[in-house]
Amino acid sequence: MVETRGGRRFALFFVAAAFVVLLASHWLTPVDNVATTAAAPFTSLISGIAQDVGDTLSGVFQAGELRRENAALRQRYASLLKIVISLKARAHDNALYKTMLRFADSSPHLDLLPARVIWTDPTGIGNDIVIDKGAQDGLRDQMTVLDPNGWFVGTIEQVRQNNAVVTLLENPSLSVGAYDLTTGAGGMGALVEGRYDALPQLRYVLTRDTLHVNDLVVTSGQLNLYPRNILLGQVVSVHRVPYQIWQDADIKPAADIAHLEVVQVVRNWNPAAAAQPPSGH
Amino acid sequence: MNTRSLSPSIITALWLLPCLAILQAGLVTHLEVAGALANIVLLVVVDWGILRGLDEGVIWAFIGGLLLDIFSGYPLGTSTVALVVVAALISMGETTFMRTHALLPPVTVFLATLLYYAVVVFILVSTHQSVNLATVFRQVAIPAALLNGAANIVVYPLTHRLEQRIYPVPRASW
Repeated sequence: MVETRGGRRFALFFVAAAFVVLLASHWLTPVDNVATTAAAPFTSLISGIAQDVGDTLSGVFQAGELRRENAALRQRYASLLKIVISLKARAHDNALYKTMLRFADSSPHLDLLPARVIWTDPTGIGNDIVIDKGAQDGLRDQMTVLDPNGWFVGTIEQVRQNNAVVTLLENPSLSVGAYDLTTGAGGMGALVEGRYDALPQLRYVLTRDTLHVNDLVVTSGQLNLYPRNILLGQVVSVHRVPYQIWQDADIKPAADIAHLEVVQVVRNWNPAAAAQPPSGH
Repeated sequence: MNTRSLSPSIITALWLLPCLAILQAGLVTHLEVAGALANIVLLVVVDWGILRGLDEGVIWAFIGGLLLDIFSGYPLGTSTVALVVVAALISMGETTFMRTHALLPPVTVFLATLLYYAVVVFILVSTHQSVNLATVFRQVAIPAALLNGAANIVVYPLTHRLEQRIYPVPRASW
């Protein structure tokens, strides 16, 4: 094609116009700003769509690599999770052992053996637990079992070679001699007895004695069966009928029996040497 | 020059080039291949110049250049002058000759891109902007020229099809 003279003049006009725009750029800046502002939403929209499409396409094309990376990350996550679980378990155990250590320091007369709870009755009916220490660790029937804080949990009922069954305070077959630490009510005659469907009860307290809600109830050492002054629980309600001889009180166990993980067995309290009540009782 | 015959071309330029400029501005990070950026507006303007000659090539270059200036950080008029100069030089070649070999349009675009960047750099240097010539050509211009040349293998047939749609009767080349 051979351009005409008019065509070349026309082109020359636009070349000149372009130079005019360049020379006048300083004065045309507001126009530039307005145009850029007006176009910004469209540019942003295109960019957003392109980003989504690009991400999708890269996901399709890099599927194999992403799968491998994902598998590697999952593996890494699993191993890190193991470490985290192990560290958390150690921290948890450390806290428990610290609590136990504090109690052991404050009760130097007691030979305490830590034991881990390895079974609890999931139905909650049995009121027993199994611990991971047994005859080979020097455990015997009727030994006292405490929680990490040193609060009464129950007593050993059945000892096997490497584990033992603990009857809990809530079990109706367990009676523990107890008294009200605040008022002394109960003396050496009262008992805390477990119940299936309710809180353990402090029984055989003379009606003339005083029991208050929130009083602390501890072991009395009655008949030498359990060490004296181990915390059993706190009075939550008192049942007193004036014309009856005895009054009762519901006790909320101090130990969190439902969530026991570690317990302490008192090994140097010899229940085999328990005193016998006088004949006729 | 027949002003009436230009009107379909101008109308097309007025809707197509803004769309392409916005597309390019929005896709700028996605059009990058190995550090090189394709310039769609430059491609279409050069191709239109090849296909339609000096008159229309320069008009498209003027509109396209203004749009590139709006979306770029250059002083207004930089891309306009560069693109108009490139389009004028390219369009003065024989369009018939350009159509004789499939490789000529990509090669033309390759050279046009280098020329475009040369003019841009010249203007920037003239306006006392700090420009490292070696870096611009090694890292920007040459990669962009190669990418534009490759992209033109696809863009040129599309532009040719657009021309045939706007101008069903082929343009006389004598």
